[in-house]
Amino acid sequence: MTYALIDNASLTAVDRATGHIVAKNPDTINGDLAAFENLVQAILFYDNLVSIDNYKEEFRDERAKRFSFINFLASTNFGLSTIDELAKREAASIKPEIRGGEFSDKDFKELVEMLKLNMVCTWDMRSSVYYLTMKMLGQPNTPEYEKYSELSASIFNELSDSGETKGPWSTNVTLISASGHIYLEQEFREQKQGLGGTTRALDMFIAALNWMAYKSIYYSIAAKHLKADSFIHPIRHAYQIHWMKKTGAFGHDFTSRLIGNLSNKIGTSVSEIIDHGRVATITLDLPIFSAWLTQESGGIEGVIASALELKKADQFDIARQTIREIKIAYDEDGISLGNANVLSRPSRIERCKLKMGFLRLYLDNCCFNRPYDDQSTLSVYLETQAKLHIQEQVKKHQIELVWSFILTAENEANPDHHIRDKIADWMDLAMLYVPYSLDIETFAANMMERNGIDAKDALHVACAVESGCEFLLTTDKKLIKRTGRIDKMRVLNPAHFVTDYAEYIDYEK
Amino acid sequence: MKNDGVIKSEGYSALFEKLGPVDAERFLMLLSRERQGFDYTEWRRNLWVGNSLTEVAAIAKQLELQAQERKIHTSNKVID
Repeated sequence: MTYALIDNASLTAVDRATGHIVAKNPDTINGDLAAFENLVQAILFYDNLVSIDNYKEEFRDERAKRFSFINFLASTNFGLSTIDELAKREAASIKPEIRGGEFSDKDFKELVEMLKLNMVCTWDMRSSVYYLTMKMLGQPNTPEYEKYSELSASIFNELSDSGETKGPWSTNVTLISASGHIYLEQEFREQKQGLGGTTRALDMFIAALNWMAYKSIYYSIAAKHLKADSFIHPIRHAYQIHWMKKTGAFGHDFTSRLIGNLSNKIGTSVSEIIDHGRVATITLDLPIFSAWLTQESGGIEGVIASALELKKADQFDIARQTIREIKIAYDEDGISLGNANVLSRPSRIERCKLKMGFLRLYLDNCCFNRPYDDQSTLSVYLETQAKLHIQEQVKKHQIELVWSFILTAENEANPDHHIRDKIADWMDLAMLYVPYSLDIETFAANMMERNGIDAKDALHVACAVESGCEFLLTTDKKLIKRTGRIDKMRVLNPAHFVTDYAEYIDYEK
Repeated sequence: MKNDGVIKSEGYSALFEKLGPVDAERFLMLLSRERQGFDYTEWRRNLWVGNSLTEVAAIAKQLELQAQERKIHTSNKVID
């Protein structure tokens, strides 16, 4: 059984995304959508969803009713009280320190750097008193500025969860001048004029950072304790990564990483188009599943119900089963043996992707010509059958076909003009056309040197890899032998492809 | 998907209907003679084999243009 532990901040974000709670600040929207996507992925890829019932008491029942597909655990059961104490102790050891206007303690310094938050604190005068004020660097109306707003809004939003500004979450900040002088609270109180301590906004920011650190640690330890994977709000996830690096506490986000890898390829290609050149730290992943379900169900309010329905489908059942097997392999055999076991399973994951209709193929000119070759040899006959079988799936849009400039060119050189014209028609069914580019040529040059293949083959391989194909199919044994696997792409004979993946590309099903 | 028997039967009908009995048989003869022993995978082994990557890329770009022009020409002919 696999469990996904969802934090309350994510559920609040989902409530904002679906319109159950009013979003007070539009800058939180990206983070909310990422949290919404996390929940949808958790529904699809986990057997059970759990959440710790530590939300504001007056809203608890209503929330439990709305998210009736989640098992809410009392925060005092299952040894969770001890986890809370542990997390509080760990969070208390974090001492925020601002030196010369910037965070200088290891924890927040690294986090601020990791999130690329260009922030400084300066002493600004208000009513004859200087207050330490938080400033974000950057020009308004630029993508960078928008990003800082989104990030700081997400961080400030942490406070809606805690409801405290001063108090345990912000009293511990140490202020140190650029020359190394440590300011004491007393100095601020004594001075009627001069330095007046931190502004309320900075207090709130620090309180929010502290709260975020505490909650991230709490959910990380709780997930490990409950043998679940943690699905926490994206901004907390950023801190979780830092904390895991610091403590070496890995192992509770295993499945989510695996799903991340599955959708990574689509995510990367879409983000390259939409978000070209922009460093989008907060938009951790593109909401692939939620965006698709929104379109399918006709609106964001129907997404969760559709996801719960889709969860029952065969392909997601297979995906969950595979994830369970991989998890068991890790749990039972440990990291090294588990790794060895899992290495023999990627083809199974590829099969799931295929069944889910995500598979992208590149067929080289040998494949397209196979039906026109002399069929008296058994291998040629089998490869022809396989190629026809695959093309049937292409026609039904169950497999994505990629075409390239080098396919067009090589086809143009085909000695039989009738065959050339018939093969050229397949280009119209391709989902993607890869034109010549310097990147393709550079990739091809490396391939030639590394794998000892000729220029035209190197260009085919480069086009297939660059367009994100899972497989390149060819009947050229030499090419298969010299390449095998390039990055994440496999080079295979079409007959082998059909034999290995038969049950998933059987068009009669 | 149609089985081999149905495809053969429908294929022969289409062929003989379009070409008539003599030309249809000549077509089958030509096909069998031309494709006998032909293996495209073997044939392409020597294609542009003496050319450098830059040369192959340049040839490819030229041929791609040629294919595009022919496609435009053919589709114009259909429209005409």
